[in-house]
Amino acid sequence: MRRTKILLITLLLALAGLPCEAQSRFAYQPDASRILFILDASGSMLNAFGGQTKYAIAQKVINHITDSVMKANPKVEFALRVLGHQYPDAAHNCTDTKLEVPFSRNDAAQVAAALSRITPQGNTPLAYTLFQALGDFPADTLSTNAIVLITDGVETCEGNLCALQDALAKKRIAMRPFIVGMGLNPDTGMAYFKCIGTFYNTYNEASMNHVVNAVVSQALNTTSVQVNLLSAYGQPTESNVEMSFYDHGTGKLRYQFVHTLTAAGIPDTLYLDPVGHYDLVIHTIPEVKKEDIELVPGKHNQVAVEVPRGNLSLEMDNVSSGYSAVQCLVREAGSDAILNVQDFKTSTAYLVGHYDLEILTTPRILMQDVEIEQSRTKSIKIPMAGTLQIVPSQASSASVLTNSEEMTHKVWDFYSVSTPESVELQPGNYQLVFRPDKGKQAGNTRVIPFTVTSGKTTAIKI
Amino acid sequence: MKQLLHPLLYCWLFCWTAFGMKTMAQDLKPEKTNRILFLLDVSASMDNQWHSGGGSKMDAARQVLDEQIDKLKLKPNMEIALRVFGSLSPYTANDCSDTKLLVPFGKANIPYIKEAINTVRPNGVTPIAMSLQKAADDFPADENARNIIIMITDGEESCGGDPCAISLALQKKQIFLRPFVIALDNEDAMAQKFECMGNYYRASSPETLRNSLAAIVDLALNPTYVQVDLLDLNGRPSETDVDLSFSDTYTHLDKYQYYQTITYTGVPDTLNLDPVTRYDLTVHTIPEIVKTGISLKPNQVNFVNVPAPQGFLLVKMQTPSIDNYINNKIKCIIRQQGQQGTTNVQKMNTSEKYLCGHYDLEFLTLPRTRIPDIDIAESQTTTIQIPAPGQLSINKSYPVFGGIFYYHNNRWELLYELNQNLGNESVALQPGTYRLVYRSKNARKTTDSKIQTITITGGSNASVTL
Repeated sequence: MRRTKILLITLLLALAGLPCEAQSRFAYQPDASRILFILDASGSMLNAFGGQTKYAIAQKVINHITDSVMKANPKVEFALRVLGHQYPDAAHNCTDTKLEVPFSRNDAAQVAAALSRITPQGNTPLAYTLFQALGDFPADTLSTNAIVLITDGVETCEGNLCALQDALAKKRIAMRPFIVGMGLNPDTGMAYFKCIGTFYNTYNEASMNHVVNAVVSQALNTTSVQVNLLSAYGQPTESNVEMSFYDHGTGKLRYQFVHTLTAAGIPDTLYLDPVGHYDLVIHTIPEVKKEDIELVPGKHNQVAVEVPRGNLSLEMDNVSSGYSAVQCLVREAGSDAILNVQDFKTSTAYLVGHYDLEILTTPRILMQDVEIEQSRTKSIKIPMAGTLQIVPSQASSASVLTNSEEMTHKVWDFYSVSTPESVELQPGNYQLVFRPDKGKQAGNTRVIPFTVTSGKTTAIKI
Repeated sequence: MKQLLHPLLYCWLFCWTAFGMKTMAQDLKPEKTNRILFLLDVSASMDNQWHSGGGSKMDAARQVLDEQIDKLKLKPNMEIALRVFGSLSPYTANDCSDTKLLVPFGKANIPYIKEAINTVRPNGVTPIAMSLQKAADDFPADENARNIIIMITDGEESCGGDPCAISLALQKKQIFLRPFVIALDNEDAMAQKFECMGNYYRASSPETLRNSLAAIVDLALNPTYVQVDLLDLNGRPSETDVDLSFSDTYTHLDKYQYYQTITYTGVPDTLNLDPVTRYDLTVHTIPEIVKTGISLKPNQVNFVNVPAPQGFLLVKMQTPSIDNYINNKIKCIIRQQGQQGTTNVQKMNTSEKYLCGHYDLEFLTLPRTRIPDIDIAESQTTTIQIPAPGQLSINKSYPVFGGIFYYHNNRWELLYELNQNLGNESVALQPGTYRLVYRSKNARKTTDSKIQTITITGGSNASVTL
């Protein structure tokens, strides 16, 4: 039977458009909250739901909520889309959906007027309607957008909610509705709507009222979140680090903040969109991810992430001007990938753990398994370089060698040099090996041992 | 005597001066004196017959040494000395200090040595380690000498000493060159007991003893040449102007540095190395090539083939960068594919020579620019250009926490952490779009966080005010 037997009011709340997509100057400060009601006006909505028709109860509940919310918060906007009301059931029209009231401020009265003039009669093209609803939201993105669908049954037009969700996800459009069924078999409803959103069943006018209020309050950000960044001691004392919230389903960025402690020293409370699941990235070095965080709507949610950190301070002795900046490659111990490039004379916070350092002096300095501990600063101090200047009297091939671990290594190659050249070298003992280009004899190779002193120039005539 | 006139010998004598490069390698110095200390085992067992028959080992040793000394006394710049062990106390006394310098180095001591060889009688035990230790003092202090030990023994250390450790320690101190050890009637299985002491020879008859001793003198005193052929991809020795280091395989001491050269005749130069050890050769290409345990044969050119085809890598900016400070910071980390660790760090706008092969490049730009799988081909310059960065000035009206982010792999990655202090900052960023996420240091609400989007154009300046 195409006509649905059980009267349902389903609230479908979906998000379209994201607060952070555009070049918003503010990370999270919505100008408005928008709620689109989609009301099923198929023929079965005329069935009784405890004394009145389902349609009448839906009408009453919507009128009540729009009216009371608008009085409390004039920044909230409502819109109304209706399906199954334009053609009789017998016509089996599967595109029977229409935006009856578009978004605008103070539109509760328009919604009420539209509801009172509609008579349920047709069938239930749910998937098609939801797809159309995406276009109902204005293109600006400074709002929190929600869709609330009220329906009395499942799809009657062969639309497929799971396929719709897949298609939207591929386009990176988030749609994560709440569904509240009126008198529907709870298992059937849950199974049918689970692809697209969260399903709530209702049984009478009172439960209907309760659920609609809860969902709308979630849409209006009454769900709070506290992100606890835990130190190694399990205390939420870490802070002042950037964090990104992504939609778990679509991968799209939802929010970016710098984590903050209140004046009392506890993580402050955020009001995030309660719809959907989040992937949270804490931008420590290295990053810490926490995936698939589900917020409990209407509650204060605590999200705990362990980000114990200590500092790595790169220091240099005998500093004088005129020498090049020195950088340090930081890798997680045993890893090949560069995690961070830190300049000398800076201090940076890292997660506690072991790191390999490669300091880009000449020669390079390798330090393995440097441990960074909670709230401690690990200081790495190296002396400033000195300068080797070679002054060739004739064109020569020249290079600088050093001995380490019983092996001789080249640390610098001047290649062919005919005019004075310099290189900055770490303090230490080296050999300058050179051979005049003229003569073509390896036997003319000369070796001059020399010492480099921090901040000083060693000149060698060759 | 004709050897004296041989031009190769002239070169040989000239080039001994290369020895001991720690001071100054290839300087011309006076001819070196060769000092040979014969270290003869006269333990009781030397009176035994060869396994193969033909008289006692002691008799053979006497005769062979006598002959060889007659040959050596004719050579110039040559001194000989004789130390024995096991001569003083009988075997039963187990006298482990039984080692004696019978004839010290000196001019015109040959008759005394010959007499001592013929009169000393096998008697006691085999304190080899102690004898090597004492031998260190037998050589006069003379930086201009090659100190050579030739040991003849028919048994291993019998006094619990560690002759290998002593030998190596004294080689490391450059007291003497790697000793020669002739083991009489030694089992093959025992070879490693002697190989660690020095250059090991095995004699199982008077004849093989004679041959071994002749071979040792030939190797120790005659010129040896090495030609290192750095081969290109066609197997031709055309690669040149590369630094070569020779170190002693056993002591790891640096011995020689040479700049590989192709002579005017188009072949690599011939190098002169002391033959009395083995060498580890490091070819200072990028990356370096190490060839270990090179042994040399006397009276000939020893060829060492090292495939070392090379090409150049030039790294530069597509347009000149804004300033030198930025140029200096944007180094290129170069890693050989499949190898751990950094192969080289190359500065921008420079060209360096690498072994042919595949390398992964990572420029320290913001964000880092990764260019994997660069193929450096022989004799060619591979040029890698990256876009020049733009410079972002960050002007702060108040101190902030925050950072610069960029979008990468569907995620926003932190690129640069802002300084928490009030000071304005300047950051070089590659062309692209970035996002500043920040919050006043004094703010007490997470939602006070702000976002600004910045677009950077290569080679130009941008600024943002927080």
